[in-house]
Amino acid sequence: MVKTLLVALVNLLLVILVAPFFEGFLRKLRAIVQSRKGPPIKQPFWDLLKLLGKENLQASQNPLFSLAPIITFGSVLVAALFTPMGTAPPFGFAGDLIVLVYFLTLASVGVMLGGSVTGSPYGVIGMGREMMLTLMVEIIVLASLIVGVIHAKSFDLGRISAWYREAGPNLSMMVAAIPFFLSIQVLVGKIPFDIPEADQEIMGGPFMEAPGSKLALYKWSYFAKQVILASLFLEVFIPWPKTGFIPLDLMTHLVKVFMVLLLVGLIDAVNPRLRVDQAISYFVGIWVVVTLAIAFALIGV
Amino acid sequence: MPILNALILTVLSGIILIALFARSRRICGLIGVTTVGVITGIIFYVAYRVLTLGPQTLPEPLFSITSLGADFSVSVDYLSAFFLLLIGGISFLATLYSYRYMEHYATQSLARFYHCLIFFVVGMIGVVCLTDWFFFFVSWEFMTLSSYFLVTYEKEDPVNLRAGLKYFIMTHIGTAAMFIGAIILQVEVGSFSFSRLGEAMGGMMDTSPVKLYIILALFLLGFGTKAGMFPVGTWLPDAHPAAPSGVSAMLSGVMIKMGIYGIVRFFFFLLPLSTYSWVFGIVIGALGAVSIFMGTISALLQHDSKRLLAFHSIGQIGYILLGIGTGLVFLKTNPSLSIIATLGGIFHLFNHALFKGLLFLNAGSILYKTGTRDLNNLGGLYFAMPLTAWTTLMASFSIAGIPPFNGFISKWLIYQATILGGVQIPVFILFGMVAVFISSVTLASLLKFFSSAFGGEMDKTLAKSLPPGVDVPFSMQLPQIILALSCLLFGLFPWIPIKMIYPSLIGSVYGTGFPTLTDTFGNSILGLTPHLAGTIIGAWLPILGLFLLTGCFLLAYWISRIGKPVKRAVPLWTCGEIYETEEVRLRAENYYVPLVSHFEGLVYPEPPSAKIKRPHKIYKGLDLDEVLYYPSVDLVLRFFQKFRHTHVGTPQVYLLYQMVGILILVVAILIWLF
Repeated sequence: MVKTLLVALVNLLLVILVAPFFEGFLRKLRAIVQSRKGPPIKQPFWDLLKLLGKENLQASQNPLFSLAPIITFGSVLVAALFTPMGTAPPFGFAGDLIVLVYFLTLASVGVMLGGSVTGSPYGVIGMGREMMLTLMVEIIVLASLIVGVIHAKSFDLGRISAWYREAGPNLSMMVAAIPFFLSIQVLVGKIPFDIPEADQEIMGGPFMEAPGSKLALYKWSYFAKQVILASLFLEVFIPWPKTGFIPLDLMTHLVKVFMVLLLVGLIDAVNPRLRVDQAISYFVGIWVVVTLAIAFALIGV
Repeated sequence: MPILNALILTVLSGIILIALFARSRRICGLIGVTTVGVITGIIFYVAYRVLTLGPQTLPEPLFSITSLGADFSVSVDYLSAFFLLLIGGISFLATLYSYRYMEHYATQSLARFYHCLIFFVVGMIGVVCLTDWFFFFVSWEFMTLSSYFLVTYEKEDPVNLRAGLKYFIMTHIGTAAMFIGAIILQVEVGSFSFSRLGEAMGGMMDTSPVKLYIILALFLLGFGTKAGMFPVGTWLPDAHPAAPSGVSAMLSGVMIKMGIYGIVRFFFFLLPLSTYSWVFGIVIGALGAVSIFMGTISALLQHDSKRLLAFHSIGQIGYILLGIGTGLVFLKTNPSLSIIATLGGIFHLFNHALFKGLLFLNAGSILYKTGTRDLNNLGGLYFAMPLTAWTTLMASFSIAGIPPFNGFISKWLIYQATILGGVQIPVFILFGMVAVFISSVTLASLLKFFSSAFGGEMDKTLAKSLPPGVDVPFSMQLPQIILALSCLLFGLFPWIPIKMIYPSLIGSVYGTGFPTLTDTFGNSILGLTPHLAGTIIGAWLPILGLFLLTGCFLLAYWISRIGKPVKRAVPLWTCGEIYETEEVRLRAENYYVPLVSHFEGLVYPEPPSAKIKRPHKIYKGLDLDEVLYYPSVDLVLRFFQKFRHTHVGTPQVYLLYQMVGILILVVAILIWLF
């Protein structure tokens, strides 16, 4: 009980307080790739604090407009409680991986509602794009995790991770890791898939009308999502090395998350943005890879 | 027996009183609501007795037609009781809703409406309570015909008549198929009673397998047509929008479930356990997966609110069929997986009745207030009808399977069963993946519905006709509130419906071979932990989940208030220039254009009035109207055209016809006698 609450607290702190610093590193990386100096590592954190103090502009009197950022950030926090970070997920006994994926979907739903209730055409276009991408990617996330389910015969993330740790590297899991990794880019809104926001094109899409504190929550939830998805990727597909001593595992986990996010940031820094229809065709291709991974898992390799 | 008398008395007195007071619309409505209310009370009482005391059967049939071997025997077991609760609940709420909603049809006779409605409810009660195929068909027809008259209620509109005719012909082809199947079985045993027919099928397994396959396929066709299964469910998107909204809620909420009831009753309770269950399990599962895909992708293209919801009914029926089909396949080899799948399917049926009933009522409220079903012309209705907006949002979350609503739990059970079943029969993983993918398509479609109707601001013409803050009348709000709250309630306490459904499955052919309720779902009162062969495969504790969700929402709220921001209302930013709302609104048909173009060839055909942009080969093959429906109707019509020539109009010729007819009859009788 105490252990559960401690791990839950650690997870929450990771996604609330540590996640902005990861973003700081990514910005630095992006600057280096583009031969700039870049902001200090702490900058995203100051940005958030500054946004929280800004005036609260109400472009719509619809209460959903105020509720949407809270839905988004709140459900990302709940998702963090079902995600394994260094050790088994703290509330793994209360919800399995399908529950986790649907809480992440709920976070996107918050973004979409916030974008569409104002009636801003940019917001609604952004909402449609966010929905289309979520639609294409959610199935990829679930299907690649299901490869683990087929092996471990359970939807419990802790058990899947434990199974893979003991069984060692496995062809189907390696194939499934690729689509999962590629979908991280979409869910955290990084180039080439930052299509719903597309600043130069639809001026932030769903976030267009969001005033300071709401924008802060949206941004924060994206930072938090980076950590959650990287953790999920690492715990399911690369669960080594593990010592069993939780603080040590947590430290190695943070280093691993950092490395995954560096890779995500690198892709972000060197790519142009895709159009929606290009992205959809791309993900149809990824579906084939996932199907292959599932087929491998079914024949037991 | 006294209960049956009370039911008959209520129905008769209700009908007579409505006929007497047909002049006064108010009294007519009140009597209609009261009658359906009393019927609901009676069947709730019956269901309660069954759930507490065990199955109830009338000791002997009320009357028999001995020459046919048909007995009017009534029996209510756990499965029937479960369906009775559903019929009673949804019918009463929909009737209550109709009380004020029917003002919309000021020129039509209300007596006609309430008469048909009462017959409709009685027909459905008969379908789930009778245990004799002959009388089953009688009440099945009762239900179909009265619902036909409700679909064509607004009889001046040719669109409605066309929809009604399509419904009439398609369901009757299905019924005829079933009837042929039942007659073949009756010939084997000389009786129409359910239990004897089950024996007959058991006997035919060894002696005439081909015949049995045909019979089973005929029954699947008949029940599937009623349920709206692909490809025979095309009547549904036409008929649902044509009916008044309260009736649409009943059609989609309970009537199409009678098809599922038939499938469950036939394949789980009558057909003895055998390879036939396995074969038809795969067929039903596959048809379910195709229905899920076709129905929902087609829904994505719609911008008529009720037509959109009707297509979702096809999709959601697909989920139910997928669950039931998976259950049927693993009935013998893996009973603990089978019961998770079947329970998921039937639980989804229950949930679908709640959220789809609610969504049709919401669409009806929009229609009542604005007079249009076209989502392209709506917007900003939140400010005119906030309650409907909230209930729509809750129903949308529920149908899209977002936790902690009820739709999530049933879909979650279906996903688990199909994916773990796929380890044995790989094709089920594919079905499961289709189900997962389409769940997000459902979300997309319903978010379109929500944001195009309720999001943004009202344009000038709408704002003029709708005073802000005046929602629909309370008698229309109440059903919406009850249904929305029950979506949440059963999402948080899934044990309530599961404890009703589980005993009914124990009563099926597989019976006591199933694991007990605690062995399957654990014993935590907080939620479900499904077990497969003794090990836990997943977990969802909704109450704890809600607790965490509330905590995290409060934390998020607190963070957003840290800086103590000051509120200020500002206009919408449209890049500096000022536009009218209708000039900058993104209309419902433009929401997901890039995605829709990817699936364009794979949807149910549009109604003929709409232009088809890209003719496609698959398109033509799938347009069953063109391939199947119109040619057969044409054929029938041409046949009768030919027949017309015999009617020459001279009495002498008609007399000649009669003479010849009598002569043939006499000769036939003579030949038969000697």
